Amino acid sequence: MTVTHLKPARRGRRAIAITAIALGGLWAVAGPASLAFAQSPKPNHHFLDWRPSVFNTRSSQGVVVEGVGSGRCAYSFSSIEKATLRYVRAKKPVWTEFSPQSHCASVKSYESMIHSLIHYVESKAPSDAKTYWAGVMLDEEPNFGFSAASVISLNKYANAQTGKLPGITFVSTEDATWKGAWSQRQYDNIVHGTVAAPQVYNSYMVGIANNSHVSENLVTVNPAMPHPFNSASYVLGRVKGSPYLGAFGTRTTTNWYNVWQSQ
Amino acid sequence: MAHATSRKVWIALTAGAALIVVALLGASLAGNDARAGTPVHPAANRAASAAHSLMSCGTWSEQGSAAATAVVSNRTIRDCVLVGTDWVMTTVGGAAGSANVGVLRCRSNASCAAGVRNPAAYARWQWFQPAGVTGGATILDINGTTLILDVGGQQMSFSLANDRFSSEMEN
Repeated sequence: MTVTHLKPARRGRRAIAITAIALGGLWAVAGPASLAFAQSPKPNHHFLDWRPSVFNTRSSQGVVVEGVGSGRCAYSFSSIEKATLRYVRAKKPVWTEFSPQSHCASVKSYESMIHSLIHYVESKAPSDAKTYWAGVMLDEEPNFGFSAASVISLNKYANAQTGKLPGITFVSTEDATWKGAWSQRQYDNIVHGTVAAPQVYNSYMVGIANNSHVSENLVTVNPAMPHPFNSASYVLGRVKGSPYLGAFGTRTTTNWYNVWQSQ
Repeated sequence: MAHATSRKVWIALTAGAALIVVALLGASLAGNDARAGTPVHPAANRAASAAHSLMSCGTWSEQGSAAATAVVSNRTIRDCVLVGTDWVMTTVGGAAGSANVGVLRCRSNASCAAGVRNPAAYARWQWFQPAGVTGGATILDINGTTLILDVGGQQMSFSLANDRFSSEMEN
């Protein structure tokens, strides 16, 4: 009688004990990160933004030449070209960024700028470009005056242009959206075929990045974002998937994220 | 017999708990703390320290918090940062015609600029919109006390010295 009453209780206790041991073991082997969303493997290198007039190779492992609108707006296209070439020749991993805006240039003009930039860098430093020029980074946002269809078209063009190149040079989309603006589907279509570099500045963008059909993100963090998204460690702990991987002439593939900072 | 089984269960539970403690200690020592979505690792710390020249708004600015909602209502905070002694906030996603560039001047009030307390306790937000332009605002660059912004597809500068917008055209 006593035994039959005790058996289910013993089984329950044993199950709890086994579960505790299994969870403890999993935690011990994989670490707490295994139970939370986080970039994996952990990013350990970062790109940092500099405007074209500044040349800085010391503050980060990689740089982004921050060209903003260009075209009819700042910064001048020639300054962006020259800054990119200077970093490439210095063997510094570098992206060249534009923030396409409809009042600065048309989509056709941005395509023309991308074409000219590629020709400029590839003709002047072909060997270093294929190892150190990560490519063209496009910061596309719903209030910049272009439709989702227009930026998809621009990205396809850039993709086709860089696809012809030897080496690592490619296209990255440093995009952001918000509730009521570009939808998840539009975001997915915009970043398709590029290195997605989502600007993760709030919980909504965490959802967009984590629900996109992208396994690899060059997560963009920004110390000017509202709390708690001003913290790189917080943001990188919220976005799942792999980081952008790159060796840039070294024997070791490293894991990257991207830091916007005005300077 | 029941007593012996209980002892075994307790031993097993203690072993499981000990493993968890060991794992947490190890992760903590390795700088690999991802609990509650707040992982800390050396690279992230380097980035945060490299980004020392910008100070973001404090905890009050968290989207959806009562303090932030009191300032932006249903708009989305795009940027929130100290520039000189001015807190600057840009917003997107509001009603058509919303003014989306907010400035709160701390002037000589160090407590206001420290970013610990909600600065609305010290001064009030003023909102700006360029004439004839509608749309959300995003900071593209900050050069001294001049902001380079996109407002509704137009790149423009905003001077915190005189509260004026101007076209940001390349010569």
